[in-house]
Amino acid sequence: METAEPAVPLPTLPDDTIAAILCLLPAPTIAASRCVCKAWRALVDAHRLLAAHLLPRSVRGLFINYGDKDNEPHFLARPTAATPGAPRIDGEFDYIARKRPGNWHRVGDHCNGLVLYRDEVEYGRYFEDDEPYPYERLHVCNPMTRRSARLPLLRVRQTWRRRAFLVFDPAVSQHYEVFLAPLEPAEDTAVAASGLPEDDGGAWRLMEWPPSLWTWHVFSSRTGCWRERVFAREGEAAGTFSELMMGPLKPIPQARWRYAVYWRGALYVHCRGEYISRLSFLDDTYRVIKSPIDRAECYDDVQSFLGRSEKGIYFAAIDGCHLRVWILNEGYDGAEWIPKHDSVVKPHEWWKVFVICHERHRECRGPWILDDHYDGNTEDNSLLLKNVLRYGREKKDNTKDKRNNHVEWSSDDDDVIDSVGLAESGIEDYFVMFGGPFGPYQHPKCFTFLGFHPYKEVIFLSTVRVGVAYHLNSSKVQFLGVVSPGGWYSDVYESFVYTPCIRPA
Amino acid sequence: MASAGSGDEKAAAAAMITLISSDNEKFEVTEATATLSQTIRHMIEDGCTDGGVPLPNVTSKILARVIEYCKKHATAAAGEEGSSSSFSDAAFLEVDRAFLEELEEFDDAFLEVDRATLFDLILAANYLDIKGLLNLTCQKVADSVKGKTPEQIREMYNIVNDLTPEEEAEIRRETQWAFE
Repeated sequence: METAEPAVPLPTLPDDTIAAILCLLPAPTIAASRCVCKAWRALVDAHRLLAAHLLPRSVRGLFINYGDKDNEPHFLARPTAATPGAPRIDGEFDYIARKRPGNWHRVGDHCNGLVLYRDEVEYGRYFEDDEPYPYERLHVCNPMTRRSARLPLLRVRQTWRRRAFLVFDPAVSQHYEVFLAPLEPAEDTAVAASGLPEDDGGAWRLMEWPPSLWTWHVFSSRTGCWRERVFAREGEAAGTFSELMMGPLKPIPQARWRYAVYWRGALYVHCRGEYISRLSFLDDTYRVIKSPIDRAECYDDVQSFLGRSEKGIYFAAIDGCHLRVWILNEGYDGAEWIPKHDSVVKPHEWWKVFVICHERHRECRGPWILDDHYDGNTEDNSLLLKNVLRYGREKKDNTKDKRNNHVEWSSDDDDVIDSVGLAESGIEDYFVMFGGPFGPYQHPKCFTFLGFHPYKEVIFLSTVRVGVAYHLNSSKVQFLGVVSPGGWYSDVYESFVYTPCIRPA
Repeated sequence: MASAGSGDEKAAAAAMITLISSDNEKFEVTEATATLSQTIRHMIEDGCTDGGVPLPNVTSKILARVIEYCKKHATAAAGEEGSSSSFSDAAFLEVDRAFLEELEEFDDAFLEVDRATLFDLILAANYLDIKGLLNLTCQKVADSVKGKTPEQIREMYNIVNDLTPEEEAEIRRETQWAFE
């Protein structure tokens, strides 16, 4: 019957209306309509009609790298046991074809369901006159489909010191790109970064950074090879070399460079907290965005982090127990940071959850666990952890069942750390008298950042061993689980919030 | 009660709106019917409906259909409100269900039109900002496309394929996952 009807051109409808119609269709038909003609393909991509099907708006867990060098990354998430058929995701990445077991594996970045995995293989020389450097392999994988691809080796100096970022938008293309950042000026790399000869009488100190033409190395899965890509600066540089290196940074146990975010056709790169570089892929330009904290704070141990959350680009600064968060507001006349949150938090309250378990000889397991199992493999100086592992967990069955039904993080049914309950437990007296099980020095007075929830105004934080979700609007704290697998000093180095993508890479 | 009722009737009678189609035909509708369109509601609120509302984008044929839809749905809305005070809960639910069924039947019958009319209705619903009608008509088009191949879609809607075979193969490869 339908075919008997004369064809009526649908394109007479406005684009928004066609998009509204296509939006009502299941994924295969949207995909089919993407093949109809150029206009429809552009329409499906511009309205991101396939995104909802590809990227379920859920957080599956956190990939965490640790400070001790021989550690592999681990994956902190809800156990998958209760959901048959769900792929098991862990930090082992055993589906990556590695040349031989290296001594340092880490997750390098995450973007819309794909993971960049960095694999230090051996020492080697890129050029004959080089000192031997650690030789690094980059892999891109999709933990959902357990597929991975090894990137060709890039012959540039000090790959292992460079930051690499993944750019992937499955709603637009199945192809991904990996951006390898140029060396940043640090004391020992400044001359190399400037590109000037070493005996130039220190002329490099007056050079601007980043340079007006900034060259990155970019791998494209479309072409399968690395290319140089030059970004032209719009506006001011961040400063001169000598300004940016004004005081060497203190060594800290966390990563100095805290994340980059791919958002609406641009890559936002956190640069030591001093500034953010915004690389626009539309016209190959970049812009320096001033950080919401001043340079003195950066050099005074204020840790800062960049991430994506509900309203776009977020910036968090942590100074002791002080947490501040801003949202980037980009207008036509520039970018400004809107304050979102400013409070003093109590990491020792979170940690007490852990200590109470220890005191009561119970297993301290949150709704999230590491790598879907916890084998207690600890060469460890931590009696605490052994006790924590040995004893069963006491939980009301109904809450447990409720939890296991879904593996993604949901906002309201997890443990909320309740400081009133803690006070009643008598543990407060214990803390007052002895300062905790390891004496007064072990009492955590600081915390670090695990990531922003990409769809809710929630920030994932951790203090010694304990991971929590902190609600920026209500300051509510929820216990996630134990974040450190190894010894007492094995601490979180960096972490990546993982949101699955069903599309194969 | 009686005096209040007649007062309402007077107000309703006074609140008739004249809609003028692109081919200059005039339609008298109640305000309740007309305000299903957000566009007209805003015009009424701004007090610029005296002397009729010209709708240069809508033909009389389509406007008649749109008004038919709005009348039915406006009555349904009014019926729900009126019934809630005068029936017991059970009776009300019964009436409510009957209303909904009737409305559904009306909608199904309303959509029995050729594609050209359907598209004109979508354009009119879009222009007049009548959410219910827009959802209804868009869903109808979506249902006709659902499960079709690109070739079938092109044929149905007379769309010229301006993709090269290479481009099309590439797009198909990109979205292969959706067909698995």
